[in-house]
Amino acid sequence: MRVKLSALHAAIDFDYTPEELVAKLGDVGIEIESTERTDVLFRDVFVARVMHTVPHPTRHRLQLIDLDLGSRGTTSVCTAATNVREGDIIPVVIPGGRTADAMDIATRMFGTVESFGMLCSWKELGLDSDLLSSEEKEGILHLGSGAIVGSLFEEAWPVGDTAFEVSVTPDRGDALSVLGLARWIEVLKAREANQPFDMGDIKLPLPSALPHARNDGDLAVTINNQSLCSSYIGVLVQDVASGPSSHAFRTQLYQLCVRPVSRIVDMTNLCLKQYGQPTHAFDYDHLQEHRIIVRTSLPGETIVTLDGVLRSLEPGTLVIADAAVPVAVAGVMGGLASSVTATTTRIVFEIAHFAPRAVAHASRHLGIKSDAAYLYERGTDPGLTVSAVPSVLSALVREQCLGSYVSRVASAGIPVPSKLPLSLDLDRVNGYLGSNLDTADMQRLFGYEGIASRVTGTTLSVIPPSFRGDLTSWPEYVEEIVRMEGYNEFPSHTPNLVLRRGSESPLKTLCKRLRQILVGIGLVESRTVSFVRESTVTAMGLPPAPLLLNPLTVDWDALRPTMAVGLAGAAVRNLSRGREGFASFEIGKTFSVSDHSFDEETKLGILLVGRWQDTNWTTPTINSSIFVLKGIIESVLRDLHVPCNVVSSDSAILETGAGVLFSSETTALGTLGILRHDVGVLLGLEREAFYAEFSVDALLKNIPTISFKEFSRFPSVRRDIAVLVDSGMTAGQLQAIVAEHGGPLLKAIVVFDNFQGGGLPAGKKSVGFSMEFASPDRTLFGEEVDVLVNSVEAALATHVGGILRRTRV
Amino acid sequence: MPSTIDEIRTALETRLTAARDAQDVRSAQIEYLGKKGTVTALLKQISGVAEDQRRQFGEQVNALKQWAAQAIEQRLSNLSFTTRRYDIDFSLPGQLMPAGKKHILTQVEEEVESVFLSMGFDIEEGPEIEQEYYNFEALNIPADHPARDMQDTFYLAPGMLLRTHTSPIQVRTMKRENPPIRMIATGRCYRRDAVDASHTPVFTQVEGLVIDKDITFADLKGVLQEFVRGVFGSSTNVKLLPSFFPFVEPGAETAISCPICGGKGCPTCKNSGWIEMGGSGMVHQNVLQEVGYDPSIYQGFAFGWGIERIAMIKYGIRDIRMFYDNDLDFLGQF
Ligand SMILES: [Zn+2]
Repeated sequence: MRVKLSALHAAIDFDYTPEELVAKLGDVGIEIESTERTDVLFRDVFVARVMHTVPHPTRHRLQLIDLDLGSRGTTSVCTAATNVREGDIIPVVIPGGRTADAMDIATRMFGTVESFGMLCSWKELGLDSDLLSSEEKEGILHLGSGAIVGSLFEEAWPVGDTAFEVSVTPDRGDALSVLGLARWIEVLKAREANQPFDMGDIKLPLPSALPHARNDGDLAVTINNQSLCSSYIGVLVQDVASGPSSHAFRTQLYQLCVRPVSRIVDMTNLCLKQYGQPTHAFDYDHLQEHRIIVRTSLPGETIVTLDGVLRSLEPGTLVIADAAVPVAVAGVMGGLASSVTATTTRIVFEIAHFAPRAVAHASRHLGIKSDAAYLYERGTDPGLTVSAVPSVLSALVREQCLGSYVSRVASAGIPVPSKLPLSLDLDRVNGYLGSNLDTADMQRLFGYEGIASRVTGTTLSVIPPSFRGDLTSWPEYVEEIVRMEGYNEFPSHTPNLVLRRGSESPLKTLCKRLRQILVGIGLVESRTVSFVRESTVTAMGLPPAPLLLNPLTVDWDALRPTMAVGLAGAAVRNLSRGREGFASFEIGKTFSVSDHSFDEETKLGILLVGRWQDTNWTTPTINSSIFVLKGIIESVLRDLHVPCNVVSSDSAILETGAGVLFSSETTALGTLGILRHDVGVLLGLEREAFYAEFSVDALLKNIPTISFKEFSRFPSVRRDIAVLVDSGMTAGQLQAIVAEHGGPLLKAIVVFDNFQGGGLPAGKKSVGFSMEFASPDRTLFGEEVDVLVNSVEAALATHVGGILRRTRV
Repeated sequence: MPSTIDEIRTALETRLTAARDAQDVRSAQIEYLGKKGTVTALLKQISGVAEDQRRQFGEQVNALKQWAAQAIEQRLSNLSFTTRRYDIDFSLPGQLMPAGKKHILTQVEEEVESVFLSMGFDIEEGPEIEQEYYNFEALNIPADHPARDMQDTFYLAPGMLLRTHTSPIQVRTMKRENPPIRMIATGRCYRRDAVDASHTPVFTQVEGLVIDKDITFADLKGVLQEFVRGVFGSSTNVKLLPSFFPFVEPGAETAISCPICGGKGCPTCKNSGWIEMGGSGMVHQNVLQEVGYDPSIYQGFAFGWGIERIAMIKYGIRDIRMFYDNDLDFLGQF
């Protein structure tokens, strides 16, 4: 909500600077988001009345204007403006003066005619164009009736002011008006002076008597649903005259930061901004049987709202209806058919108090956001609804000559819904706050806010004022105590808690451990957004991902089913910035959907592209490869002691024949391989990329407990063999034979060579194994190892036709 | 044959000169004079040499053996008395080692978690796809409440959404366990905010909750004080400001004394000396009731802060988007 300092000054006396006001209101929980100061930049601008206009003798586009400057006499100017007529009240800057856009004014000749000044538009005056009507922004500014001719413009128009942008939390609906802010300023003053809150300090008119309310044939109001609408008042105005608001009223709107529209709309806007009470104007002659019925909508009912949209109403929506159909969605928006038009001669102003939840529900369900709904949702003051606002509005109608008279005020509902007192126990309050207040302190603090209280022993009985709809339970009163005492006047204390250790889930511990291992290996951790584009997921050949009903952009319309998309995006950005490689991992949630139920799983994704290890004089460049990635995974699994099998993978995003699946006895753990080229291209990656994705949840289930195993402290014996085999033979198959025939003394097997081509026969390859033999209880003899090696060699020859290439001791 | 003896002598000489330590000399000794050593092998050959040459060969081999033993002994004693002078250019870089890095958000998250673990808090987790009930209703944010506008929400299906805060984990924990409760939860949250320097639709929160019979508003301040001192340093202070969050009452915005200027005023704190970090307050009665705790017996506090915000303030990062851009030059800085 935007409002100017001058409007607040008109409502209550205070002598805070704008900065002080912002700080003090902030201290009690009312945030002023921004302040904007406007200075008076013009000089010697006066309010003048146009006496005569005649065309310039030689220049046909100019006019000569004689102006009455009241006590300052008369003057005349030449102008090219076309919107100046006799009798108009307009601003003029005289010679020696200056405009807001820094133009110095002097006497000037137009042909043979001398011009003594310049007529001003809003631009020369530096007015806020957002707060002007479209007419006011065309040509010379016209001041309404009531502006004093001859006065300085700054006396006639509230320029030189500070605008505040008030942004309150949802519980502070009571601060969303000039009256509301004035009340909080009164609270500040009361607290500083240690005096109780006094509504009498508020200068806005707050008449309490409702002008002769009666229900008769002219206008009948009925409330069918009292729990959703506690009171409803209709003010009938006859012989409505059109035209703009008076000058005084118009400038008041400027202070309230309201753009003028028409006299009727201006009045409703004033009630909204000044008092926080939404009002609505109906065309009386379009209300069937001149009746107003507050009721809930019936099945099948519709309404065309003011914005011209036909809306079907959910049964049970609170509406204002005439004898036949709904004419407004209560507190949200009026209907088009009953709206005020140029031909309207009789209107009914609605002033009502609706239940916040009724308005909130209708507003959200229909998708209509209006100023009225915004206020109603946050709670309006039922006290104002039945007294001040109808009276103020009636007075305005008379002052502004909107109609010949206020003919009828019809009302229904209870005058002011009564609030029950609430009991506050002193010990309970102190036990909640960790404070040491007594009842007198509490009474004093409540007094600053106008909350009535009565003490009985150690109990306070409190009743909130009608404008504090937020006070319904005892902790809310506790908050008021804190607010008034000051949030930082309360002690700080460390809780008396039982000594114990904090715990975390095994999954969390595993995630931390994985990060530690991977970072140790040299990978950088990424964190990418969880959103992906659905079409990308489909094109990758992955199962459908969960879709967002209201995505931010089409690029982010689904939840990631894989870490690959985010990591590839990060890789693309890094490579495009000239980095030679990207080796990164991410641990986080991936998502899936089946039969409309959603699932999430913690996954580890690893992506390698380009250079794996940087080079320097000691270190050769190592590029990423499938075996660098496999080495990383093996290292992780070794660290976790996870036993697993490796079989070829059918992962959709990996190249055929270039992917493997790691699995435990029972479950799949993850896959690794070369990222499918077209998938890479889809994600913006032209280069060969290596990708692994593991389920952290599955890893967790497969981590064994570790127990000590006896190990050999005797020297081990190492023997190398190399065999020539068919190139279709895998290292794993050979290794299995070696392991089987090496016997229990074979401690470790390392593949030290895997070679094809060169001088080797076609279709053959040479694989070299280094075998380490050891015994836990003695030093081995060379001869017994020789026997074992011979048996391995024999097995290789028998089972796979391996030709022994060499044996090295 | 003599050439062989000369060759062996030359080879051993070279070998001994090149030896850098006793170990090198000892292995040369084994290679030449050991059981299977080169010289030992020659000695074994003597008997097989033709008689006319045997004597001469024997003398030569024995001379070689004697010389070798002496040379080895000499070299060993030399090594033990002389210290070698090195001339290494230490301005040369060492061999490159792996340079992995945890993401800055992980580092901050782990730091925050360790502070709370040390105070006996449990770390709880919850789903990112959450039921509307846990995210809103159970936290005293009924449908149509204006507070829902504070958190623009991504929906997956009617009643299913991406959690907008870590607070549903509070509800889940309280529904599962009886008081006393002492927990934090860190995790990814989602809000439908357009991306700019201070908003990303994905962000990370840390949530705290303490419930017992006598936990007070003063305790909230005390715990937050410990927390910020643990993360920002021991001279950091906490200030509470009135604010509104539907699941707490009284509710407070928490500010810390600016760790950058120490409270004197700087651009980061907009010259106020204070920086707003997140919400906190006493757990609302309706929330306690909803999870089945008796509000006349149990009470406590909760708070929720942004991990990104903590990292931004701690390290002076001005643009939240950098956390999710993953530029190696950014990630490598922390
Ligand atoms: Zn600062």
